[in-house]
Amino acid sequence: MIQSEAVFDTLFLGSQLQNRLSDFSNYELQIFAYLSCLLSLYDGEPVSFWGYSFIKNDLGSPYSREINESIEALIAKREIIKSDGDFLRITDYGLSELEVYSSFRSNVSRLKFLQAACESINLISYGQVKESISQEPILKSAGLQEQRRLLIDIDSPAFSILYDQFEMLKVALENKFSNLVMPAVIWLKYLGDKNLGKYDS
Amino acid sequence: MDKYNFPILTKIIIKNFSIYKKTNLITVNIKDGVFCLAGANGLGKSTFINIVNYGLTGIVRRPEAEFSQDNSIPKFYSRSKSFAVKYFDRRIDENLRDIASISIELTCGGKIFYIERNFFEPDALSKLEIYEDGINIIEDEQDLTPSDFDFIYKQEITKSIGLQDFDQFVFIQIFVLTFDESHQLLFWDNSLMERVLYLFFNLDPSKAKLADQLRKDVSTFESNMRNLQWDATQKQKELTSLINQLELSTNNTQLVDEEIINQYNDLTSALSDGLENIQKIESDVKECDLLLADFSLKLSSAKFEYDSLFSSSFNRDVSLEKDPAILSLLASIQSDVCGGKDPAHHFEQLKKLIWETKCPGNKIANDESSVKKLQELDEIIFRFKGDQDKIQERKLRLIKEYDNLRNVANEITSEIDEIEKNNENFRLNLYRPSDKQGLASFVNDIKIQIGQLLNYKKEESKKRDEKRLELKNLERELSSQYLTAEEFFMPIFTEYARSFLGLDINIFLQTYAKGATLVLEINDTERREKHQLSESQRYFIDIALRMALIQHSSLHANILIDTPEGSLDIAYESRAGKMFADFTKKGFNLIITANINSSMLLLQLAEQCKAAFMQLERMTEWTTLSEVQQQEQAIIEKAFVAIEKKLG
Amino acid sequence: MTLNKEQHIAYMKEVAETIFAASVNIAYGDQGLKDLVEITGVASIVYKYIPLDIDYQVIIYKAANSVHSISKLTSKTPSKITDISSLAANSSKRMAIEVINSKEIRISFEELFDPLTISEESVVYYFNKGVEQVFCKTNAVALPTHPDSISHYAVPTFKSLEAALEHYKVYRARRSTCPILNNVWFDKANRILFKDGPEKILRQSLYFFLSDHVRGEVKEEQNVDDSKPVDIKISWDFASHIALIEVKWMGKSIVSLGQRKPNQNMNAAEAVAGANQLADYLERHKPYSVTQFTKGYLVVFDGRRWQTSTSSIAVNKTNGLYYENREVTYTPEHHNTRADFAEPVRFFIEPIYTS
Repeated sequence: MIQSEAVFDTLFLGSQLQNRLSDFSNYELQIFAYLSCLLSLYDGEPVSFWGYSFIKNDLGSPYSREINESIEALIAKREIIKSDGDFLRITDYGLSELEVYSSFRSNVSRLKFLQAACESINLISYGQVKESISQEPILKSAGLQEQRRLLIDIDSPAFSILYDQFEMLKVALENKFSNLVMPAVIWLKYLGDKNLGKYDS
Repeated sequence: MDKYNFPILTKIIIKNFSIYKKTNLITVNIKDGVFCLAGANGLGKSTFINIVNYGLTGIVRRPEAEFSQDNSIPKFYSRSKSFAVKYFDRRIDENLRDIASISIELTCGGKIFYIERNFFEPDALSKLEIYEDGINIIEDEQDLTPSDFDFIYKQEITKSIGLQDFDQFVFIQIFVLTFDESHQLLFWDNSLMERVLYLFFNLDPSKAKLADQLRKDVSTFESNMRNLQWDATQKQKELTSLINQLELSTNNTQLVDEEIINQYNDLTSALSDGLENIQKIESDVKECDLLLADFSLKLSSAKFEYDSLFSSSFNRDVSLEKDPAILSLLASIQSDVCGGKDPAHHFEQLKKLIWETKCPGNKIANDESSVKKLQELDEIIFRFKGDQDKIQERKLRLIKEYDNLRNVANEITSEIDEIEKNNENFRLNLYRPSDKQGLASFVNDIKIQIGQLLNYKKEESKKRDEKRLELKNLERELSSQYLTAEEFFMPIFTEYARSFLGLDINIFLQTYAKGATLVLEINDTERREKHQLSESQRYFIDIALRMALIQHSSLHANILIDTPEGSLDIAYESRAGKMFADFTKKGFNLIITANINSSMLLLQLAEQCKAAFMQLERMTEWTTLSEVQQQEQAIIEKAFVAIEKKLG
Repeated sequence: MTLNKEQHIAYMKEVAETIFAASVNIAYGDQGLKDLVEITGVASIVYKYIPLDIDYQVIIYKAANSVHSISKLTSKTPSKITDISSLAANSSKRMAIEVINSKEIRISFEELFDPLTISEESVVYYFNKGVEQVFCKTNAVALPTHPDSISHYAVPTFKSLEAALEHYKVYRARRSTCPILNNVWFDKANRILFKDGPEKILRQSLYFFLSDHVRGEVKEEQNVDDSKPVDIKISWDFASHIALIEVKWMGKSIVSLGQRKPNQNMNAAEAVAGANQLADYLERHKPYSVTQFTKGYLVVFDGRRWQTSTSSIAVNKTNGLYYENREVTYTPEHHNTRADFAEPVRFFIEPIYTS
């Protein structure tokens, strides 16, 4: 059964990514879906809010079966087409369907997370966003074992580290920003800098 | 965690060890790289390893004893001590007992140690010199006995390595830095792994157990608090009903101020009202819970309807041969046909599906109506969610009010107590003495009990908060250490294991809540039980684990390997040789005993290391061959020559 | 290595203070941030079509009120554009762009205005001859310079590794402009000799560049021995297409000036050995299915200089650039005999030479 949230996310993220990058790949879409999901956790939504889950695949990147199925189904419906090898584009038909779905209330509630995730590319580079996501504690810890494991498993110690980071972020930002994209960008830059070794003594 | 400075052996001298018949003085200078003691079976190669370890630690490990029996490092150390003497008893002639000894020269943490230990005095050193910057730092000490030397040695070496206790060094030396013939395999032994994880990653098993205990405590406190509250509430109700039953005695009221009596009456009726309100709120909250459950159900079925409709209308646009619903029908038809059943009953459904979803006119109309229906459902879900949120808010508000009322009730109760305390005869005067005498004291008892219950509750609450904080800090600490181990150590270990075995394996730490331990997966099927791997494979995983631990925790170390006789598959020998050579080149010295028959391993080692990096010591220099071995001498000699040739 | 909570919070605060978007958000509120996002989005698209260089001056802004609309700020009638690709035909190097909405911009060519006249209320971005600024009220906040691109909004992304390596070669390696790479020198002032064990830094520099620019998943590999000579792995579309990169280097490394022998002295033989190791590895690890395609890339950092020793503190142009065009001869030529072996790439890094 096709999952409505995944379909909406695919169409929306795909259209946003292709505005900036001229097309997108399955891998890229999954990353931004994952980032959006993390932002919803930051914003206080429960794990169940997002509607579908992610695993860490063999190569170390986040992967959602539902997103993948949506992509395939949308291709079959010609709302997405393959362009330039393995890259994809949302067709005009897909964009018009997106407009219809965008009016649905249940989709409106997730828009702010999807938007914040995509807007981060405008403020720090695409490459930085991609690299920083791989430094996020849950993905990083699952990644080291190179084994399929459910992300967002609330019993894992990595999950508590993630929440700790969010708590620290909230303290650090002192409510200066009432939007979601600034915390997102600051968090991503912080993760990236940490990985570059900027905080090693 | 800082790196450890494990001792690096530079010289070994064995005196008067009877098994080594040919000579009563064996001196070995150990250079950087590989030191290989090679010989045929039964010549005493494993004994050599035990001798070296005895020199360093003063014990010989009992071969049949499993660590899990001792299950603590200090216990293991003390129980192993007595074994050394027994071990050497059989191997050294009676008349040589006093003069048989092992001397070792080693460097550790910038200091050079010279130690000599007699085989029959494990807790003493006949000689100890420790050089720091060219000066023997214990030279000035007067009148030191051999057991003083041993004591000082233990302290100094422990400090230089960077450990807390000498028995920790013994543990590491025997179980991690040595791989011996009785193959106590680290990886498959939980009790060993726990200690290893603690020593190398600060992953304290006692902390994990403490965390579990704290969790239990917190939940105990919380249930205590609930019980106390309930008891207090019950008592309060009892009390007010009693008070209401009692009539005011007018006889002796002139002893008490009328104003106070009025105040008292007001308070008790306020209390009674308060308790009634509390009860009402309790039932309101229950009602909220029921409504919330109801909404939850409504929401999930609305969502389900939405999802189904979305899914089916989504597939409408898909061409016939890709539509999942049609494909699944076809699959059912196929299974019927192949199973010899009549598939005709599916045809109606197929026809209906195609008519509704694939025929042009119907499709468009359906599309429009689907979208409209979806929008309706979306609105309904949104409304449900809104209503649910409102109920949730209401519930939170009620709970807050409940807490307030509780507090007020408590205050009133204490005010009532105040009045009664300040007016000593009040109670007695208030209630008619005669048949209410017993009742009056009963009332008083209840009041005291209520006060106590509420106090207990406050205390439990405080305790719970303290435990919660402690738990949170502990969990954070464990998490970050666990992740540090994963980040730096696991990749090294996995790579080594893969290189050794040539298999696609994954190794991971199980979560700390269950107690940290390592689990091995091969091609996605867990092989926790060791009997599912061949002996050589198990051996190599353990070597890989040791190498990774050593590489992770130190810059230089000695690793002792006693190659098990005859249990290595030839297929692994050459690879093992190369792995050892690579490891040595990283700065870790290898002392290895090998059967001259394990020629592939030795040949590969020699090839990789060359004479610059590898010393080959023939055991035949140390001891005489048995008759059988003498007969095979030519073959043995040939094998030696081949290896020496590789060394170049 | 492990930080405590307070330190993490302090670092996050530092990021929050230095990141320019934060300043804009605080100065102009949430609407200002939205405007900034729109403006920078337009910048990215515009820079796809104009050959941005150091002579350009580009203002992009969103009017906070009608007084700031571009027709009121310039004397000529602005052009209304809905298809930004049409800019490719324009040769003007000075332009002011007002973002109307996501589908429409208005441009005035050749005529600019002072951003400070409108920045009190409107968010303004200004690319001024190589310097990028965003205005926060009356303060101009400079964006940090990007190591290999003239603008943060003109950073190329690459779908192919070959193109990415070419870009790295010219813009990061050649003049050692990559900030990570630049730490590899014993002597940053003349770049003649490497530090001991430069592999790690070289790998990191290349890894971060590729991760930033390549439209695929880039991972650093852990290897414990020579049997797996792969330093960086890139996969596109979940492993149907994989690139394995091996990093080697040529040159001398020292720990102290004038030491008897260099710590390492790598030359072409090292590169050839690397190629052979990689080819061997590829042979041993052919992918299972025919839909998987793996390709090996050998990348060699070339820091060789002619007639220099461990005590060299200067080199002239001839000796410094001696190896500029000296490609390594590979025998065997795996890139000609194997379909899964790409032509090796050499990054020659110039020293700072005298005269």
